Amino acid sequence: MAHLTDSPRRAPRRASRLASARREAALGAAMVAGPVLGALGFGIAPLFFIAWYSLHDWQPLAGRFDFVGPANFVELAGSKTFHQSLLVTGGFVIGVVLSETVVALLLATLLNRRLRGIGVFRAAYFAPVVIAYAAWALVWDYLLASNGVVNSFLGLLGITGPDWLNSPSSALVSVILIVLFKGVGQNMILFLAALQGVPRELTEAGELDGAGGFGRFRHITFPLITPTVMMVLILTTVGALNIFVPIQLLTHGGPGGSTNVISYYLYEVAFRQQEFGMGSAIGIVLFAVVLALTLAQWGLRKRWVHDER
Amino acid sequence: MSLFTSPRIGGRAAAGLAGLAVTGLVLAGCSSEPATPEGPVDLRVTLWSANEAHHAVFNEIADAYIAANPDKVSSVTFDAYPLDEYTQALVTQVSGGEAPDIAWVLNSNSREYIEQGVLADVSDVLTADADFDLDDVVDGSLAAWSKDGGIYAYPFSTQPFGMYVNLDLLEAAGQPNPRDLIASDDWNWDRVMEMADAVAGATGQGGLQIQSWNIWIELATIWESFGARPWSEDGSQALFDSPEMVEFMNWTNENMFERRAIIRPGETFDFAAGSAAFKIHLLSTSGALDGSFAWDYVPLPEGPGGQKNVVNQAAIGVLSQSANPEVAAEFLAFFTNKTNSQKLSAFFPQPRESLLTYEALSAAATKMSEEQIVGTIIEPAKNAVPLPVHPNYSQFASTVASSLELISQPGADVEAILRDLQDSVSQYFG
Repeated sequence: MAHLTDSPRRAPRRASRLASARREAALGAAMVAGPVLGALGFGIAPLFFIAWYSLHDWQPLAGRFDFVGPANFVELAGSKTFHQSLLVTGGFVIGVVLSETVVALLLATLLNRRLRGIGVFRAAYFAPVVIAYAAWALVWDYLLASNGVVNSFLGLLGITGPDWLNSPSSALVSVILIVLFKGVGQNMILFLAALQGVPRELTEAGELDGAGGFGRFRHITFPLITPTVMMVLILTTVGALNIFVPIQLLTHGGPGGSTNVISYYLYEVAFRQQEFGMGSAIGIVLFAVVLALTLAQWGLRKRWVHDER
Repeated sequence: MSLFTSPRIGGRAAAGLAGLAVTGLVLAGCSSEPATPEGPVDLRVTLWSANEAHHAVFNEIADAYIAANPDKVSSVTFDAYPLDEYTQALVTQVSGGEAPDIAWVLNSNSREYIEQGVLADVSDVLTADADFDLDDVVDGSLAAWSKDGGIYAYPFSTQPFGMYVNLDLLEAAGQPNPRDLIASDDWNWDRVMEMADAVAGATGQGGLQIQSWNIWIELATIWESFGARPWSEDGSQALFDSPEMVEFMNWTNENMFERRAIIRPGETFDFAAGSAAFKIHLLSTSGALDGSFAWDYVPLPEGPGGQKNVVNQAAIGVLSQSANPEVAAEFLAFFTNKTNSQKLSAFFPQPRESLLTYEALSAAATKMSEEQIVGTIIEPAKNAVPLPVHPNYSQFASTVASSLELISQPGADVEAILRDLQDSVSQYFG
């Protein structure tokens, strides 16, 4: 007995369905062509350009563009300033990622309650996210001045505050705090959305089984929000590695290079020292670091992210 | 469903991307020589002033040139960028193949721009233009902008540094008037530091305000009177660890932390706001003083190495990468000729004998008295030394700034920091 699909009466219908599918595929391809070409032209191609420039001694004002091979990378490898910048960047990224993730999760947990007026608190913590970074940095510049508001307040308590942004021992921590207060609201909102997606019956079941608040969070809530935790970790890491505005406005990488993160160092070399080739080489290193960290986080996801195991 | 999807790029796609990039690179490398213009050209000038009054005068001069030379120039655009970002904007434009025809140039960049061929030699045009009147230009004022007989820019703003003094704060602290100290030959840095410390102690305000630690080259206004120099005259040797420089930097650190004579980095005292006793700057600062406190503008004090006057210049030059260098040079000569220099002197002191007068300068500093203009600007201008310049300045400027930040810390080992600095920057000298 022949299958129904083999019936001569069904064949034209199948051909029509195939043609329709092809038309849909072509239409789909046409619709994504723009974004794909945009990504290639404005995202991927510039990366190749920067890789090419990094092999040159390029000084635009002098009109110099000489091929030097890997010389820029060799010079970077021996540069004390670059080594210091990598260390500073590592400290900065660890500080920002840890503090933003932990504080955002704590805030989200606290604000994940059905209380009257809770929306006001949520909005208050999110408000810094929508403030322009330049304005945010300038306000903190005044607050953290050695004779500024923070130290004046500490003085009332009999404490002599440090010169927050101008002392090598406190400048990096100060910038981390400024970045934390600015960005924590965004991560808080992401965590809040994830927490509200945790089924109430699961936590109630845990409660009935005698689990305490921390136990329920540790064994029920946290595992269920790990996809969001992972996204926050990746986004915050990439954002911290590319930080620029607060450094440029508040410390210029100082004092004594103590806040000279790699993205600011790139700017210094390319635009102040006018060495675009070396700046491009730093850009390639920065890209490699971002890519490696992102891939590492992605690769480790199966070990701890819910639904990825 | 996972929030993430795994991006996979196939071999063909990767090859396509590489091809796209290589094609782009090849196209980018195919630059063509600028064609000789057949008709009138559009000139573009980059500068760091967005002041509307300045631009009104610039446009007035440009309009007059266009009216007289309609076959050469059809328009002149003055593009302003903030001073802090000016050099970066210029570099970005040139690297993108959009070099302006004419640019303002900072004093600190003069030598490197000339040595690197950034600026075009305009001496032939300036010499040939009778209206420019090169003989009227003050001797020595073109030194930083010349090389081997060529002139690479014209210093349209040439002004000596002076010391602004808040007389109200000095009086409140029971300190003498600087004019009396000048008359008794006691106007020196030790005395100024005593007065600044006394003001800080008595009023809670600041002593001497340093304009910006990032513009460290302007510390030359003090270290010159200590006999210190950051590098040798010919630029072949760094002198950051010289005894004179060590003495000066130790003096700075002591006056910042052992007493409160110099405002520390991070403190927000500001002379224009009336909260600092002293500030070294140019006559243009007087425009920002609103009369809310009594002030004076006096010559720089004497130091262990004598009294030294220091001049700051900003120049205007034609870029070698301009698409229209000849026309731009002719416009530059017109823009800064003797007649138009008189118009420019309403804002910028000109390095011209005919305009180095109280009458001319009072237009640029309407709040200053004749005593201030003659005694602090005109007389010092005759023997002032320029701010130091070096062909590799941009390469080591941030390294020096970084070391100065460490020197501006309590208990800093100044000599060791300067020794490290000397080692770090020595590759850029000699």
